Amino acid sequence: MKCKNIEKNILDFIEGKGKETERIKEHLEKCEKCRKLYNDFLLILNNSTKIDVPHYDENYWGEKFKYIQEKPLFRIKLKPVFTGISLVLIFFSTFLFIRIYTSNFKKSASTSSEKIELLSHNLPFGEEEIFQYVDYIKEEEAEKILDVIFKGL
Amino acid sequence: MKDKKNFEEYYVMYANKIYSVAYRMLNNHNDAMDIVQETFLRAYKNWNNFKGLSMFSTYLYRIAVNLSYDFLRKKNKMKKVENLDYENILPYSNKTNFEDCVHYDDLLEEIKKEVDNLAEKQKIVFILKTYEELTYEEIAHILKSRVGTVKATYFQSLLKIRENLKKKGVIKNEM
Repeated sequence: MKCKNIEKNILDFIEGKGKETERIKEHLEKCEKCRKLYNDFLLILNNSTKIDVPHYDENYWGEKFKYIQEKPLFRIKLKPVFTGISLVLIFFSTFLFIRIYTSNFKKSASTSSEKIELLSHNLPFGEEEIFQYVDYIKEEEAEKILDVIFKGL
Repeated sequence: MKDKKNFEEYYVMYANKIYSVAYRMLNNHNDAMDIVQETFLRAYKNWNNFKGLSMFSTYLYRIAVNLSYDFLRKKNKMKKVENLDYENILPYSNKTNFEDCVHYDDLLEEIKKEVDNLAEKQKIVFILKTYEELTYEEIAHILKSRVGTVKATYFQSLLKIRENLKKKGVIKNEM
């Protein structure tokens, strides 16, 4: 038997199960490496079972059972409910803010110069630059362009 | 006929086993107790759907294992935040011989530590097999896994414990 087969069968051998017990024994007598593995596993397993956990008797668990009986069977989980409500509130407040802000923005600018001034606060270039480009086109056309921009806001 | 009284009998019968698994997973009485109560509370809700005792015990173990996993994950997340600069220094790094330097109690303590340090899956397989003495088939059923996988995981868990104990000098290295 090869060492690889020992590794495969060693757990069953430790439990006293498996078919090839005699052949494993023979191998363990000859092979120091596998014998070491077997001894180490035995040491770990034998000592592991000595690690105790607290043990409670039936009376103790009988008392604890009352807790199960007292608890309501169906509890509403509050975490997802609160998360849902918060998300809806955030969504609506953002929506309302955008609506109010853009409507005020549109209302407060009636003439083209007012519109340009307002736009210059919200665009990455200044008022002078806007005027520079607007000067190239007629005032009526500029008015139309500004209206299109404002509708898009 | 399944009734409340019947469920109480099962509770008393299995509570200690579930407590033992949870305690070994979490190393804390109160946490283990929470797992026991939550496990049975969930089982109580589905009490009328169980056909047999074997299915019920598997179900209990499965809930307890999953709840323990969840608990450990939450705990580990918190630990990571707390111990960002933590460096683990092995106390036995220079020791090579078990007989020379580690007493019996130390050996148990070191094994316990190494079981705690196993990966989640290895840890639960080790606990269910070594302490609860369940068969590979039962463990596979609880973990919804294959018998071969469970067997391999158990072997790996033992190898890992052995390897770490060797590194600490708790057990001898090969000649």
